Amino acid sequence: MSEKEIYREITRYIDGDLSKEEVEDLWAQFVDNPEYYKWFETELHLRDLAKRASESNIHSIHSDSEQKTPISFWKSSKGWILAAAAAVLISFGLQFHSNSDTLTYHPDSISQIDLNEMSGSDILRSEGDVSHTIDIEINRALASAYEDDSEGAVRKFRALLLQDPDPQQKARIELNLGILYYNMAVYEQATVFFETVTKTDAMNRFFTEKAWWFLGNAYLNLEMLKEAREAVHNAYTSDGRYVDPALSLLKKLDEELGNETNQADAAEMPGD
Amino acid sequence: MDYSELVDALRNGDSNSVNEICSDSLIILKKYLIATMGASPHDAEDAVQQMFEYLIPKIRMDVIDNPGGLAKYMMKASRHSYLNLLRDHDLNDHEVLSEEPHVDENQIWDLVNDERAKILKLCIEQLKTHYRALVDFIFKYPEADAKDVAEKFDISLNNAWQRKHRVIKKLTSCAEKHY
Repeated sequence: MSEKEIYREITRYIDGDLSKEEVEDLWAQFVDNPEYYKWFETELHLRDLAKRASESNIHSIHSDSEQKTPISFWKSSKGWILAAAAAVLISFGLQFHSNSDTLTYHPDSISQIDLNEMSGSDILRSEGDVSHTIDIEINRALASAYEDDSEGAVRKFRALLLQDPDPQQKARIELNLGILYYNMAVYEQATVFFETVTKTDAMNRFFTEKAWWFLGNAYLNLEMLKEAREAVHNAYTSDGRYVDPALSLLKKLDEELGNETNQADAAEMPGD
Repeated sequence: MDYSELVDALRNGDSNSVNEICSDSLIILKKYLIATMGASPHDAEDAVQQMFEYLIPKIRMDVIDNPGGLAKYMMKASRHSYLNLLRDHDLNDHEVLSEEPHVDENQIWDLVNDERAKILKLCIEQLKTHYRALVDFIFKYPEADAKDVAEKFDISLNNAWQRKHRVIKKLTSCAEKHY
C-alpha cells in the first residue's frame, strides 16, 4: 500500500469503516512501519480533540445551511451551466478569498507580486481579427487589475480563457491569473496557472523563468517544500533575473529540508 | 522494522540490537492488544513480553518459515499470549473463555492519552496559517470528511486528502520532538 492509501485506511479505521480483516492488515502495516502508527495516533488524538471542542460548541457541517448552501449550490450547478461556469467559479473563488483574510504568507516567500509583472499584449494585428480582439480584452483586464479591481480582472481573464486564445495569449492570461490569485492568497489556484505556464513552449525562457519563480513561492505558501524547491531551482538554473533571490531561497529551503548536498549543488549550477 | 536485522542479531547473540529492534514493535503490539482486545496497558505489555519470549527461540531455531509475514505472526502470538494471561488471571470468571473476547467498537479511543493530547495542542498552535485553518475547520466540524474539506477550501478531493495527510505528518513530527 502507498502512504496515501495507508492514510486513507487510517481514517476509515477511525470512522469504523474497516472490516476485521482490514483492521488486522492495517495493524500489520503499523508493526512493519512504526511511522504509520504515529500517523494513526496523531489522527486519533486530533479527532478526539475535535470531538471535545465540539461538545461545547456544537456544529454540524450537514445542518449548517449558511455554510453549506453556497458551496453545495456551486457543486451541483457546475455540471449543467457550462457557459456560466467561469463566472460562478470566479464568484466562488472571490468569496473564498474574502473569507480567507486571515491567511498569511510564508515568511520566506514574496508577500505580493508586483502587478507590473503581469503580461499585456502588443496590439499589432489587423482590426477585426479574433486574435486582435482578445489582445484588446487582455489589456482591458490588465487595466482592471491596475485600477485595483482584482475581482473584475480575474473575471475578465477567466472569460478570455474560454474564447480560444492562441498559445501566447493563453500563457499571458494564465500568468496574469496566477499573479492575481497569488496576491489574493489563493495559492492553490495560483499554482494551477503558474504550472501551466511553465509547460508552455509558446513563450521565451524569461517568461517561463518568471512562472517557475512565482510557482516556487506559491508552493512555499502551501508548505509544499519539495515542490517549492524544485520550482525555485528551475528558476535559478534559468540564470536570469531571479537567480539571486532564487539562490537565497534555495539555501533556506535546503536548510529546512535538511538537504546540504543540494545546497552545494545549487550554488555551483548556474556557472556550469 | 527490518526482520532480517532481528534474525541476524538473534543468531549473533546481540541482545542490545535485539532489544532495540523489538522496542518499536513492542509498543505497537501493546497498543494493538488495547485497541482490538480491550486489554489493559499492563496486561498488554505482559502479553507482548511473553510473545517475544516465545518467538525469539523460534527465530533462533529458524522455525519461522516466512519472515515477511512476521508482523502478523507476532500479532497472532500476542493475542494468544493475552488470552492465556486472561485464563491464568481469571479462570473462575472465564470458565468458558471464547477465542476472541467481545470488544467494544470504540476500543481504539482507549489509546488516547491526555499527555499526547496536550502536546498535540501545542503543535497545532505552531502550524502555519493555512494548515491551522484546516484544523480549525475540523474542530468546528469534527465529522467533516475529505470531500467537505475539498468543498470548503475549493480544492480537489485528492488535494484535500493530501493536505489532511500533510497536516498529520507535520503534527506527528512536532509531537515526536516534544514527547
